[in-house]
Amino acid sequence: MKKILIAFATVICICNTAYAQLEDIQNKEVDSTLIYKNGEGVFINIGKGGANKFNVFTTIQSGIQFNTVDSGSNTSSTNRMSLNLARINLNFTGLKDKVQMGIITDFTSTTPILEGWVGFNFWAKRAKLIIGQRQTHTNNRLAMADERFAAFMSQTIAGNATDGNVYGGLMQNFVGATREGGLFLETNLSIKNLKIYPSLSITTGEGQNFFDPTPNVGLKYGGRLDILPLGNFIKNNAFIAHDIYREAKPKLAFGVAASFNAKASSPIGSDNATLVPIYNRAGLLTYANYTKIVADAMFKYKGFSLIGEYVNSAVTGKDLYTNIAGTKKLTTDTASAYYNIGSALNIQTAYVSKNGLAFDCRITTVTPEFANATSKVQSQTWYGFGINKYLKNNAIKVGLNVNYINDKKIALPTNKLSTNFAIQITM
Amino acid sequence: MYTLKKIIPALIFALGFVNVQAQIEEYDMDSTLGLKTPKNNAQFLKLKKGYVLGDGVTIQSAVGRLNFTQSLQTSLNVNSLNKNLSNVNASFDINRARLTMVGNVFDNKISFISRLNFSSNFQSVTTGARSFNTTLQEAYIEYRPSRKHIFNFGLRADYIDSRETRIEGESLAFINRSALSAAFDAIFDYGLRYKGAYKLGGKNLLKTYASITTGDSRSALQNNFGGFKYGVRIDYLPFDRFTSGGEFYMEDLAREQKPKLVLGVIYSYNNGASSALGTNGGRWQYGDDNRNVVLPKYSKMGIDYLFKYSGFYSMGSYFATNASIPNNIKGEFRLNGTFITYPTTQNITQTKQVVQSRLNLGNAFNIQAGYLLKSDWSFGLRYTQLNANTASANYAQFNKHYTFVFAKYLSGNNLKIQTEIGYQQLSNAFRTTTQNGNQYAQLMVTIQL
Repeated sequence: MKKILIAFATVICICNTAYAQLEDIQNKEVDSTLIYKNGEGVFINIGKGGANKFNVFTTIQSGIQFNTVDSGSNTSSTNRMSLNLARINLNFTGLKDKVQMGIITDFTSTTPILEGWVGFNFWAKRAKLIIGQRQTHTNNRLAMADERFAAFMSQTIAGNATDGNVYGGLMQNFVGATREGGLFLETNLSIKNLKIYPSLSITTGEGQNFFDPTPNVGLKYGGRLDILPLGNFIKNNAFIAHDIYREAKPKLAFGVAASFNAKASSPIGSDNATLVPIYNRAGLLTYANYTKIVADAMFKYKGFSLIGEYVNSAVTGKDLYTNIAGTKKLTTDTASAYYNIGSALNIQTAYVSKNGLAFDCRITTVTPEFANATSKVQSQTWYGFGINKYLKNNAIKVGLNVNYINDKKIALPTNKLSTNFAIQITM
Repeated sequence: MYTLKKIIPALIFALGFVNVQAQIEEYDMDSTLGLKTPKNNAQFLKLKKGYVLGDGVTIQSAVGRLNFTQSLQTSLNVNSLNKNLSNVNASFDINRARLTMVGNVFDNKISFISRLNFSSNFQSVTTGARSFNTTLQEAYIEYRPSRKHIFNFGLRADYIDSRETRIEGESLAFINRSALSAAFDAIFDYGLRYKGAYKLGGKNLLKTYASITTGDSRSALQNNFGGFKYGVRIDYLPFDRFTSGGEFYMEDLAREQKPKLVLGVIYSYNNGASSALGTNGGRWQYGDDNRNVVLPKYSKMGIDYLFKYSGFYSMGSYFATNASIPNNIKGEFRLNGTFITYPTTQNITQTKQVVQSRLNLGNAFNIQAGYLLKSDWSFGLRYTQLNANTASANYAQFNKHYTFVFAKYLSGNNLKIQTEIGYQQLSNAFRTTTQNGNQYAQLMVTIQL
């Protein structure tokens, strides 16, 4: 009996202490807290008023894929298991929110780091200057959110979709790597409920370039203007396909972005020196300039979302030749065999129910600027349907999606059916 | 065509016409920067009090925990191939440096495990689409609907290799696993797995394991080659479970009060093998007349046991592999994807011999035993023999392995010093007048935080 009483008293003491600590934390200003939030990881808050905040979380996404490709005369089937995401994220905000830092590691490829940047807030938090590698704002809207929020789960290697299933035909043909190294200036302005977000960047124009073997020969200059007439979205909801936070009021975003990639050394301006050589009049290696404009819009309300994205790319340049002797000029027509030029329109819609069940539909049309057999961009139509289930404040996500790609390739038209199943956990 | 001259004025104009006002709301591309007072899905965490070596750092919440552990194994190795022990080679190595993260913060039924080994090379020796990192050793999601059934999905060590691979590298009684394991165990692979435990009455226990994996190991992280690998393991424990999880560490640190035994049988079938034993998928790809990829089927069967009693342990394995080579192989793909057609003078038998010479075919057995004194000093012996098929890949140049280990366990497997002396005997065809085999000695320190 004595032992029971002692044990009971001990339990009471522990409970009281724990309750008192929780009450203290909630009612008083404390020096530090350690908090875990489902789907967002561990928050370490050091210093009064949350002066320094660390956030660490890990994401794993495992997937399996089944493909069937029909070329008219031949049908082939393949399957694949893959680790779609294997990441550790570390974010830091400190010095009274004047400094921010972000690091993302990724273990699906051969390079360990995906993002690394430092940001400085100034002008009373109306502006932020960022230097490092991160997702650039000169791409379409859905290219600015982390892959763990993608509506269509499928394989990515170091953030790049290998087959386009994650983000569809628009990004497969005109974006490639979503991250770039460079200097980014972000500003935020407001007129009552109208929110305006202008941003500018100077980047390498060579995608994820931490380990590029070849020196960069020209920078990329770009900017984006986002207008939100009905106020801000919840958290990162302005950049993801699903309305996972279920906006209580209608929210609308319009965005335009443009970029000028001087001497782009890859077909989409998202890689380093992968292009077939182009020469100048003197027979020296050079590249054309790659320009891209983007327009997008997003509407969200109570779980429903509708997104439209348009991209158009072109090349410019003088005295460019496809041979070292300088006798074969690079025209806009022949440039289509070197660069991804043309346009694409992506429209997708989704509904997320209150219990976290999401239904997706996506249609993308890809149009080449020149319908040549050798063009990098070929006429394509992508159809995507998916269903996802979010659990535990989005910490767990289970998804199934089907993608049908009608590739009207001049040389060999094909129809591809790709089915993906994946499970994602963020902790 | 769009030019910079048109873009910049438009953005400057947009900046100029508005009444600038700072905003409170966040507009971040990532959702994780906003820290709010804990509620609903948030929980306060605290560090687990009390610590013994190997526990790692544990952060606990009301419903779960996150655990981080780091291991380090460093070693000194010396060896000589010559009979007179001349030309001694020496090296210092980091055998393992592994950070393991385990979490089940929000649900006891669902957990997440990842492991990074910092002593691995990050890229394979080959290039192109086959390049992959070996730093990531495990990354999987596990679901436990009940205590008896577990499903997991992702990258981890297979259940269908030899018994030695059921034991972590830090918990071995020897410095390395045996030559049998090196010959036939792929260890890490990506896929779907199940493990279950069934009571058969009395103290009889049956553990079953099944898996569908890529058969390509970690090179499958970027690409899969050939068909899937299907495997099953059945373990029978006639005397109930081992004490303190003793089935999964080699030395009898728990000093079993009663004899404990596990007998296992495994079988796996790789429907399209593209590497010697499944560790490097995509290394060898063959093609038919139309250059469609054609691969051999590779099967493996094995039996093994682990016995422990009162500080003594014994472990043994016998494994054999076999391959079925298709008749329509007409050439092979280089690593850069180009195709080499075999000469027309090469007949089917010769082609099959070429394919077999790139697979680890044959059989092997390993037997070992050790005893742990009450003072936590231990010693052990191991004998391994490899019997390669005539047409097999050359994995059995050293075909007989004799090993003696002497160790001091300072804190179980979490802090130990092991010394190993061994002799790896060359098979007859490789012996010379000066060389019969490799004599070596190793000293390794293991610590697990």
